[in-house]
Amino acid sequence: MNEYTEPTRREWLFGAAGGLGGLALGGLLADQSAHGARQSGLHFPAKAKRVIFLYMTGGVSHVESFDYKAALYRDHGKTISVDNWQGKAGSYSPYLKAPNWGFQAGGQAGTMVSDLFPQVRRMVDELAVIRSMHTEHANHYESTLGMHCGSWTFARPSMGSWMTYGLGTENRNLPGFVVVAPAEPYAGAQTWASDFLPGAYQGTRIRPGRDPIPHVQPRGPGGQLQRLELELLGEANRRHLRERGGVRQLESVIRAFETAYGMQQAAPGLFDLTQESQATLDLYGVQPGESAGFGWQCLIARRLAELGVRFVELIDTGSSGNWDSHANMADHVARAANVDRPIAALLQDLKQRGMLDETLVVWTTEFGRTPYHEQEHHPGREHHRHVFSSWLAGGGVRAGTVYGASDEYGMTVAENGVHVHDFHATILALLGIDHERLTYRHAGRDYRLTDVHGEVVEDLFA
Amino acid sequence: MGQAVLGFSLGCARCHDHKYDPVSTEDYYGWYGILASTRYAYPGSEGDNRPRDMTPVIPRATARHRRREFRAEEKRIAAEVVRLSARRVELETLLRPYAVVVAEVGPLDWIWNPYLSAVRGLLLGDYVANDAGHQGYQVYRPVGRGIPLIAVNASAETLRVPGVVPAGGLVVHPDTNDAAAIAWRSPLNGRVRVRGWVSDVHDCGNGVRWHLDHLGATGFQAVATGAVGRATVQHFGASHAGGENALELDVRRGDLLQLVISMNGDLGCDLTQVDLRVQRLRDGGQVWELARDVVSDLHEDGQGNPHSDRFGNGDTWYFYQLAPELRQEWATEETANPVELAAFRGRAAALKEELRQTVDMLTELTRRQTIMERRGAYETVYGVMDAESADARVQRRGDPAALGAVVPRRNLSMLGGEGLPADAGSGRLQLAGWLTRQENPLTARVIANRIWQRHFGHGIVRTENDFGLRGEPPTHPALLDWLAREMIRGRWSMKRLHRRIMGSAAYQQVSRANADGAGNDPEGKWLWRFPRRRLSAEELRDSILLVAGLLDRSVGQGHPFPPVSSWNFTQHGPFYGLYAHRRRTVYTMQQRLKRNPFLALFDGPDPNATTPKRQVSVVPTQALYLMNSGQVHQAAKTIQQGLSARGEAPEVQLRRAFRQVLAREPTDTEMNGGRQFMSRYAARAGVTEGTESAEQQALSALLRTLLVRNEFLFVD
Repeated sequence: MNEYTEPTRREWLFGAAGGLGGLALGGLLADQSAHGARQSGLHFPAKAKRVIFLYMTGGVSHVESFDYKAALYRDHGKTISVDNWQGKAGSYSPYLKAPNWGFQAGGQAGTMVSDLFPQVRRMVDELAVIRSMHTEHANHYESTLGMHCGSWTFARPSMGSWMTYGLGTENRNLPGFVVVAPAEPYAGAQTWASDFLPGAYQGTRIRPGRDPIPHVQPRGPGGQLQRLELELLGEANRRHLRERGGVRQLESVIRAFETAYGMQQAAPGLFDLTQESQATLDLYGVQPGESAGFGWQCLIARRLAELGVRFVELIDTGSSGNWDSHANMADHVARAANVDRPIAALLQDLKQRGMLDETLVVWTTEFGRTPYHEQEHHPGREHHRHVFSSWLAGGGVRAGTVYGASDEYGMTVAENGVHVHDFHATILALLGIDHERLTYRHAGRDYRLTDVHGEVVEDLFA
Repeated sequence: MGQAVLGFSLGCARCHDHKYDPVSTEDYYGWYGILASTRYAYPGSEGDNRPRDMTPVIPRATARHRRREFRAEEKRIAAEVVRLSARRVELETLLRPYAVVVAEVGPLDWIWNPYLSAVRGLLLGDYVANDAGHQGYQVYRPVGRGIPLIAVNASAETLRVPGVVPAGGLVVHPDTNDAAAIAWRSPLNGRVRVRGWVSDVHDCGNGVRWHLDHLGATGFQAVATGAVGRATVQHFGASHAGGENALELDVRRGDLLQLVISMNGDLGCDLTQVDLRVQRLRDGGQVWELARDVVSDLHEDGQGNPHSDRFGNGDTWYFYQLAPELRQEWATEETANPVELAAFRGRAAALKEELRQTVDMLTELTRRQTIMERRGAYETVYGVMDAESADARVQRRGDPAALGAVVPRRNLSMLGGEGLPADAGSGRLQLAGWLTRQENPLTARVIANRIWQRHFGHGIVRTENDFGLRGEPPTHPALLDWLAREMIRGRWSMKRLHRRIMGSAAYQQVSRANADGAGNDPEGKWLWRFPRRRLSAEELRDSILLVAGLLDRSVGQGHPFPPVSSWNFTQHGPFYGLYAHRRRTVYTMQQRLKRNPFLALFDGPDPNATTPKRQVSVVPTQALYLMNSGQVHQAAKTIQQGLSARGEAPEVQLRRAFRQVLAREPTDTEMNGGRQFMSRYAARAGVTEGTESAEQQALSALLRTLLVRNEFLFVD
């Protein structure tokens, strides 16, 4: 239980770890109790225990990654008509643009994947590719927020926060929601914020580099003496809290100190890659002594998953130098080269260790890119929200399949559209959570990750 | 300026007329022209790695004049340095054969070494970090040549460059014409024991020769010599007194012990690992170890050759090239015979005195050169300045390559739309007037709203960056207008407005919830209670410094930037600096490229965009900072030292601690808890080592818990 003090009743409820307790605590903790989520036990049988969320910042071109459009090669340079383009009313006649790269069928399933992702293609039998994703907004900021928080306008709790709020944590020495990101994406730290959910469910960011978790070394006396010190601090903070009748934000600080104390123990082992075999390092493309790069991020994600972290998010780049190839699609080459091998390695490694069955791996971006351009010979592509591609793999996912389709040019959804709300509902369902019943009362009403929308796509389940 | 000052976004109109608010593309470029003449300082990059367009803090005409004077002065000093250096070498050469006599006459306390200026002239002057892509392979070599070199491996891995350099190793590579030499300059008078080794680490070539020499006030002495074959190692000296091959000698302050590595014949492939250790035989027996002193930080911020030792002596290790002929010349230089020595005695004192003065003058001139280099002709600021003013052309779809019609510089239509007077210059002054005149109520409202927001968490207009069509209407419009007028009446004094707000009944409410308020206004829009808030990053740091008495309230003085002449920035190694200071956090240098880690941790603003509202995150990494950062520990220790110095009873100390940090008396429970804590902590702390008493450690620990508790972190 509590590492260094006798817990109060409230704290005991707060800290009740693991799935069942976790769901219950959500309601009990809140000042005004949450409804629905206070069920005993999970809503559905869980197919996965945790999520590794791979987020590609800037908008990956769907027609150059996972959505093969033969007609686009054929009709390159032809004009088409588009209504209401990029939020601007009226009719436009842009030019179709052939993809810069070819596609090949991968695996036994024969799913077409572009030459930008040869390594992921090798693992395609593990994936359920969704070619009919769509979102609400054509700006990075709004759509990054939407993909993370289910809201395109206001800050709301991030998916990882909802998930840890619903499921609790498996390891009290680490935060339940960890973000490994070299830079901030559009919308910054809001993308992993808990907003009105208690601060304990906020994503904790680890920065690749020599010092991924600053100040994790105890300064001065550690051990017994530091425990004494933190006991005194905890007493004072609990007294302060009692006098105020319980305040979520103040409780969150108390909890943050407890987790921090645990992190001091857990961190050195977490980043010690000398425990990994050379074969594993080679698989991810990580050099000995290296402490950055997407390969390192993926390897750390696997280690965090092993340690019981509920939701690990990896972000590949920040709000610049990302997949936003307006000027030239050739910029996708470096971005893909950065992530292709590590992602394939992560899937392969999880599988080898028997962890893929209980880990849901999600790959997505905020939106796709236009299959056309306003100018006839322009080398770039613009933002495209009407259809794009994502994929799921691992725990409970029908592997080696493709779900949904875009039209012949990849302009809009042709069948089985998956809105971001549907995507979220499906992810929660795989974790055993009913998105309609995981609610939190705030400012006078119940909130959900999926607002009042969202359909679970059961066809994606194994 | 749009969102931050006027409360609506102008950026949209860069590409198209604003979709919601009345700003056209012409409006945008009318303002754009006013600011387009801004010239930015450039720190330098690949290919052009000198900074330029730094802004002088003196008028331009004066700057030109000062620059001319400065250059002339630089030239004069440089010429003087050349003249004096030549004279110095002359004098030393003249005095060298009579060293025995010279040591006994004239300024006796003055340390001189007749070889030192020659050695200084041969120093390897070109520093290269991570040479040839080897991470941690740091090299000194002659300007414009690859070898001879000395290099270190500062990484944690073995490098093959080719030739194997183990982690932490130091290597040299001689050249056909010049040997590679390393010297230790003695900071002491007394007897030392010398040992070391030379190891050929190339598995090609034919090995190297080495010499160990003593160059001092009394002349040149060859101490030891040897040769190593390909990929073999040779040790010299012994670690024990009287041991086999023990090398012991008497040195005086300023003497040089040099290790020279030269080619054996003229084959290459002579990468050679060496180490040199000098042990003082009395007075503490200090040991100088070459690799240990220099490997981790070869360049020492540009002061690495000569390199300091770890005892704080500067100029201890010298790295230079040495032609075998010159060494030979020194080795065979004839010492004067007794008759000549006697004859010279009369002149010696005067010449030695002249040499001393020459050296002093050189030292002084070099010092002035360094200062001049650091300061430049006049003080400059890394900021912006005015270039030629001109009207801008519309950039179609925001593309600077697709230029449209010229738009005369003018005000936004919605603010009046007037143009510039004929003699206006860039128009910045007029722009400032347009923003702040009575007819434009937006600026004052936007700023007053932000000041309100910093106290109450939300502005009166809750979309603080958007007062436009898509923004939220104010919750208290009359209050906002009144605050804006108050601020203007108070001559735009923000401090006055802060006082007004903090003196209000709304501000002074408690933050406790009650059922009535929570039921009717759960978001607290109507301010039925004070909204509890955590200190901002800046407030947190400032408050800790303040209560510890560490806050520096003095005005002026910038950050200690490295001298501009040392800037060597690239696209991949851009400028990044974190300067520790104890002034208020608002004076901390901000860089767009990298966020200040402390500000980032406690939700400070994004340096790339206007941040109307900050997130308030609560994460364990913040707790780690509060538990383990040097800043918190330092503050607690400072307060503890102040309290301990008064020599009062623990109870009194405890009371004072609460008063100083939390500005209140402790309760009885807190007094009891604190006393118990201190005795339990002290009982266990006593076991550990340290200069502080167990009681002092306990008091520091207690103070830390005061500095980071919620009572301190929150305003409520």
